[in-house]
Amino acid sequence: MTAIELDGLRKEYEDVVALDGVDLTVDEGEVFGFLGPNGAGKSTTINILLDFVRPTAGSAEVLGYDAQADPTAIRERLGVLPEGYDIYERLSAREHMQFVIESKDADDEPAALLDRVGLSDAIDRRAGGYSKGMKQRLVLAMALVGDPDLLILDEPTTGLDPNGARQMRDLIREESERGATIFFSSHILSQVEAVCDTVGILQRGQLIAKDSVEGLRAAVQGGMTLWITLGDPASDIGTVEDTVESLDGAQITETDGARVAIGCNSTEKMAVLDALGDAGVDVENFETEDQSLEELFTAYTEQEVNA
Amino acid sequence: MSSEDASGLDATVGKVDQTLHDQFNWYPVAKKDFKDAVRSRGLWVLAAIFTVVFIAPIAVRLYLDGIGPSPPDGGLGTRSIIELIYIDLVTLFLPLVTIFVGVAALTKEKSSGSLKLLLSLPFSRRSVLLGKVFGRCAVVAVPFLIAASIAGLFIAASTINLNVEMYALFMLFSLIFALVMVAIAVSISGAVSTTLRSVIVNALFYIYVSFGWNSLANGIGKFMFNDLGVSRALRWNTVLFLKLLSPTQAYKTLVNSMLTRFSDDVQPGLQRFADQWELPWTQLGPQQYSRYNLFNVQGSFFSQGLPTADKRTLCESIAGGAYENATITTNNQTNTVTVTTAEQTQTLQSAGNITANQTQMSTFCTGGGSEIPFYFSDPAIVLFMLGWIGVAAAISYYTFDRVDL
Repeated sequence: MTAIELDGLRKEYEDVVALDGVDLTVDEGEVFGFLGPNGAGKSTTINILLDFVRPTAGSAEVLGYDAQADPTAIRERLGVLPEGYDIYERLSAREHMQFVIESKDADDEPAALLDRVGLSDAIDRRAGGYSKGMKQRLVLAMALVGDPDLLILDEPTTGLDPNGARQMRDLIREESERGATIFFSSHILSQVEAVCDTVGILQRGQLIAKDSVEGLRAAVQGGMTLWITLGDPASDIGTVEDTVESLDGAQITETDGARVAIGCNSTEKMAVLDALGDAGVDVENFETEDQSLEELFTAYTEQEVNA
Repeated sequence: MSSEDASGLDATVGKVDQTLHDQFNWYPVAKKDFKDAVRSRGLWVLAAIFTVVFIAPIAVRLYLDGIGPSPPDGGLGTRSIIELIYIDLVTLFLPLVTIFVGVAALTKEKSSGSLKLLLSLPFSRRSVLLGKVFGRCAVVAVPFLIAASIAGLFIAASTINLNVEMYALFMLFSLIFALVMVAIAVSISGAVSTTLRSVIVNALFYIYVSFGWNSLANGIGKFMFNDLGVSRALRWNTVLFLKLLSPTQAYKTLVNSMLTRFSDDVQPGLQRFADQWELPWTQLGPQQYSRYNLFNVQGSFFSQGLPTADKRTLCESIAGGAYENATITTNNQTNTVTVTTAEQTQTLQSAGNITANQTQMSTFCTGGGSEIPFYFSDPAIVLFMLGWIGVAAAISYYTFDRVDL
């Protein structure tokens, strides 16, 4: 089953093409990260999924329903953190939740959901006095009402402190474990790579890449850096060089005294360590450093720019 | 016992709430909107404004009556306060309040982004629009009913003789008028993109309906008659129909119809004249008379009345009446008065002393006994008014449903 299916999606605003033929499939149960610089068309795509905006051409299907023909059927099973939203100043968090629960015919406890997003201490205060981060938490709690099959989160971590961003990631994992599909957009890449199964990169209205995080890494380069610390660098460094050179897809990228950086594919990390052990190298310590999607992303978009 | 009553009431309210929730998908939107107004105290401010507006003019009047000479009719009655004070108050002031309540209903949600939260819940755009219309209607209706009740108690406690039924009907019609106007204001808010535009369109609509509609209706009638050569009957039927389409005119006509229904005499002047000269004339029905009275038949200080041919058409075609001439001739030699109508001539001996020979002609629109056509009747007018809610909401929905947010 597919949760989201975009087919040749195109949106023109007066003289700007916001989306230029986007095809995309997100499977049910997937955590999908929708990446792209600001202005790439991420919010336009999400707004079309939510029927806030009507496409110029192409179609968007959400949970098996056409987004334009059947928006309410979709909204029954959807939780949304939209971009550029606002809450009702005069209503408390509890009243917001009650409204959503009533609207969705759900039977959640407002307090329980607000507790999950870390807003239980402000539950009966007017939301007008909330900080940006608190509003974000409130809307997230509203999105969780009724255990939605699909969560659409547009830039969910903006306005959150690092702790809040971590909570957000935990929450996404929990929801994913429950079986929900999660579609979230971000221009902050570390947020995406931490939780996503699959990533799509949108650039100037076009989807320029879609793959698993690992797949994307592999596609660009070895993918990660393995730092080893040698017990006896003076005698072993030559052996290390020879061993690494003999392995496919691994190379020494940097040496720093006793520390050696080896670029390799993440799946080959153990093979590299085993080979070094077999060659009698004394590896005192090792650590891995993922090549961040930031670099990937830059690599992709630069390729695009160069082309 | 009182706690049992309270829990019984709670149960009933809960049941109604549940039924509305199950029946209408716009209901949660309307309920939230209403709660928001309660929370902002806007509802109580409105109730206070309505109460002051209903009571203050009467209180002033009573105070002045207390110190000055009594009016000729012996004081204020329910009918006179409605005719002299309330009708203009409602038609001119109430729409300003309803515009204030409805003007930003949807534009504010559009610009702030809370509309995105609403529309990510299982509401269609239609439900959001309807929910806003009904929610704001409740925001006007509740304070209005509170104020109408308080004003009613005030009048009952004062020296004014309160006719409860007349007062209740008047307030009911006024409430319908208010709801129509608030629905229109919310609909305009749904059809445009910003609050400023909503304010402008609402203001233009208010000015036009309050002050421009009649001129346009009359102008169209004149054009049809002078340039298209339609009959006088068609001309005046069209003008009346157009007038009644205006919510303001429809409301006024409805109230007039209702007020005349409460007295035996729709046309007291006509009745006195007929009694005096023993003429077999009957009065127009309340509905017929209030339609006929919409036109400047008699003329006023500022304008001449209509030409006789048009008066006759209005009487016969609009009011279904008979247009009667009566010529009164006095003769100081025989000391008699001769009254000539189309049917009869009778000469009566005057009781007093007649000093001059005079001839005076008067015209009357007397009752012809015919039923008013349905499309001009009171029920039809109520339908026209309610139709405004439908038309405004439909136009608003047509626009609102197509726009990118």
